[in-house]
Amino acid sequence: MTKKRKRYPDLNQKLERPWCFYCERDFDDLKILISHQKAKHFKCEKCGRRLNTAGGLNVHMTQVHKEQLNQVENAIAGRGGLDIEIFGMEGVPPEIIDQHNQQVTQQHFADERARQQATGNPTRGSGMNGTANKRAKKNETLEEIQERAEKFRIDRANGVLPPPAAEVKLEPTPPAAQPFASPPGSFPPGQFPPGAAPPAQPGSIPGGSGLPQRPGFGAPPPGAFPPNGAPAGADFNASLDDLIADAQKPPTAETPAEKKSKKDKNIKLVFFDDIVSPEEKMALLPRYAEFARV
Amino acid sequence: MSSQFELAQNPTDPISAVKFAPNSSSRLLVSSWDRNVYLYDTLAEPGGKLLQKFEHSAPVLDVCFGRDDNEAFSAGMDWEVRRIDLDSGAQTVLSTHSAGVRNVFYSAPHNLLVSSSWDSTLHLHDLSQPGEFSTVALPAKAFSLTASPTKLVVAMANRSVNIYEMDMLAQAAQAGGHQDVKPWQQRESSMKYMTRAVSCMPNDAGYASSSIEGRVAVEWFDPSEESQSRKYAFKCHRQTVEGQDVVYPVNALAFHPVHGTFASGGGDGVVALWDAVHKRRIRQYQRFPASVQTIDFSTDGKYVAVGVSPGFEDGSDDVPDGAIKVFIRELSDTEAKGKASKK
Repeated sequence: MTKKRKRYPDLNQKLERPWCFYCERDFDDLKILISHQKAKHFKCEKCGRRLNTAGGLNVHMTQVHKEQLNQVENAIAGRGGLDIEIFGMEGVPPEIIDQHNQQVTQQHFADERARQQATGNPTRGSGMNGTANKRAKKNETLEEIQERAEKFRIDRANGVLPPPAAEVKLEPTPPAAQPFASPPGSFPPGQFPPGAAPPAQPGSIPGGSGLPQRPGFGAPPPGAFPPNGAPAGADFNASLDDLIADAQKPPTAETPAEKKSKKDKNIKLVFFDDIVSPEEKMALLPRYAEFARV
Repeated sequence: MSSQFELAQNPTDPISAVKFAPNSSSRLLVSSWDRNVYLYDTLAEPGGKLLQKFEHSAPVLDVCFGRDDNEAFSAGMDWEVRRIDLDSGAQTVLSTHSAGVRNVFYSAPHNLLVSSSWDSTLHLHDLSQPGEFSTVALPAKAFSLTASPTKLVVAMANRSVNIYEMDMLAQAAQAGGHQDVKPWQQRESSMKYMTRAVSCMPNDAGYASSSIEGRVAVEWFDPSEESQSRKYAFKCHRQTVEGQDVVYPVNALAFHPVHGTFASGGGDGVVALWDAVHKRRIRQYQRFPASVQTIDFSTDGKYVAVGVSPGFEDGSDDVPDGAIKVFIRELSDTEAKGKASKK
């Protein structure tokens, strides 16, 4: 099975997505946008009631809590005003829509460029008429070709290496291919090419372990793991799965622990005691203790 | 239309309890750490009228009305449970604990006065036998006391909660001396932190309790699994300050005598009304100027009194400065009424 190619949405799909006027977040669906606005922007901080619009929340606040709503919660700067009635995508001023569309368009092209740089894949639509990776077509006359052929013959006679061969040598090889690029046997026994983990070097493990060989270059250096997770020798392959599991565990194990400690840290009890009540502590204060019976 | 006002003459030290009279919704008792019990007529004039002040020898931790609007009971750091004749101002000591007395509760149907103390005992006073009382040992210091028509709930240190049957207590009170009354039920608080307050539902079905860690639990008396599985707890009286969750103790709980909803008051100075059955908050009032220490509804459910004063906070050497005031709120007909569950 080959990996399914990731589909990136095109610009039109991105522009069609509903988005929130207050925080510029975009959503798959208008319904989700509306529930987002009710939860994040139109929720009463006093009683948690979710209203449909900022105006509705204002009326609720004045009638129920006798308070004045000054601005919409969680809004980005300049968007918290109550003068505009927003519901989903309705009520968004056209100039703000234009501004948002422009931003989305710019972001879209920036993302595409970044992806193209990272993957080397042609950008969308550049496969047919794009010129990025294409060499200019050479229009040589017969004389020019003959001239080039003549130069080559002279160079070869003089021992000058043809440029194409030099090019091949200079081309960087992907690091993954390194151990194979260097001819086997060119290293003295007991020594390993730099960069390859010694126990993982194919052929260095005596055969008959019964386990399928793993490609040596796929194994991370042992130093990347905590000391307890770095066995050596023939155990290496057997415990590689565990190692990978270990390597993946710390982040997942850390996150809940972190969350928990965060939770603990962020709570401050105004009064904390298991045995002695606030009144008993108050009773010990000198100004009250002097009247207490003993 | 609902309205709110504060009493004009307030105690000078933190307020420990506010209580409405059984037969009048304008007669209010307030006990304070300034060693006084105050009696007000809240409606006599704007800001209420202070009718009388009853001096004690030590800070008063709780007060309650007795058989009628002219009898009151108080408890405090003088270890004594007192009866106060509100007409004459005469005080009689009913019993003496061996530590501060935290709460007093008067049960009209049984003519029984119960006091709970930091000495880990209950004192039962059968008021038809003046001068007599019985002692019931508790497993820990008592922090809060409440009762429904048939059950008495004591919340104690170590998160323990004892539920007694009123009839059993009334019998024990008649017998006098040390009584070994078995609690009808012994429970552990469903919350992780110290219990702060308990209050019974007026319909005798269960009670609400609150903890120092911004939480309120609602449970039912009925020991059947079905009823027990209905119990729940929720967070409240918290505030996010600069990304930190500041958790306040829930100091006060009071059920509305008519609608069966309840109010909670916290160290954050907020009073919220809750519908225990539908698990909904009905409303939350604007923040009071200091911690809410005590809440009481009038017998007809038309008024609510809120005692506001700075509470003891950990890490402080003294009670912080702040407003010491009693607020009276007149409730509109539907203000404390639970809503039918929506949607």
